Amino acid sequence: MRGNDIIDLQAASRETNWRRKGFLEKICTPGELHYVLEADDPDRAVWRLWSIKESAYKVHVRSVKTRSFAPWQLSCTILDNTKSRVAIGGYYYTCSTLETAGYIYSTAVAAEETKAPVIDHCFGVRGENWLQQQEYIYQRIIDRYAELAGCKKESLRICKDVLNIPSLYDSEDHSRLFLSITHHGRYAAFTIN
Amino acid sequence: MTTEELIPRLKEIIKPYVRNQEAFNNLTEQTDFLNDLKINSANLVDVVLDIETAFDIIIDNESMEKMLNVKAALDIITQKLGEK
Repeated sequence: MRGNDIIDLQAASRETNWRRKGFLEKICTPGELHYVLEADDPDRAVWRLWSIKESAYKVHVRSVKTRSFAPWQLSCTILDNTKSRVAIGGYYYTCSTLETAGYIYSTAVAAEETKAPVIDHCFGVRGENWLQQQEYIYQRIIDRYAELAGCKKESLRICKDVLNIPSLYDSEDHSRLFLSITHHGRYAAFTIN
Repeated sequence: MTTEELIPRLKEIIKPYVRNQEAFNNLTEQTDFLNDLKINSANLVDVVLDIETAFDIIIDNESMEKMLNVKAALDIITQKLGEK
């Protein structure tokens, strides 16, 4: 199981004023607050932290099977420029972050996970509204997986469970793969394992 | 304040963050902020802060945890207004 989260830095600066009063206190532990305020580039620090927490949250929901909105509970330790660790309620997740000029992308796995992803892919999104964009993203996932696995596109379907967690279902052999999808602004990414 | 009075005020608060306009137009108590309205999760923090300002209440961590849909938000606002 993996979780992922992408942040379009341009969209983030347009959509969210993290400097507003009370914002950081609602999402950060005291240690994380320190990390942001001491950072050379606090904008990148905030969004790196947020993408780490979101990616870890997505794996965590799969483990505990219940949703919540408690970003401060996902306690993040930055290990180096790419690696970090998140602890929440006795669960531990290992995260890796990729930073480019345009986006920040994090993936998280349970600390004991050893399986490598089959696919972990970032791409630019097309479409005028969220519905068109979602259709585009779903099609990209199906096309990419079909090509890689050598299976028929027509037999692949993206399903969501009651917690809104997606999976990739192949009606040909009734197999179901773990899938994590993320989309923000101009970018999307997915990981399958 | 009744639910009927609260819903329009809540809609006014969440409106700038909504990406799925259709779900917003058909909003019910069961509407989910993230899954239905497609509000991005960082903006859900803004929603919480905007609610605090609009109703002059403090949403503590325990309450914020539940803040995933309209019903939960209405329950929390009603509870916090009652405690004032």
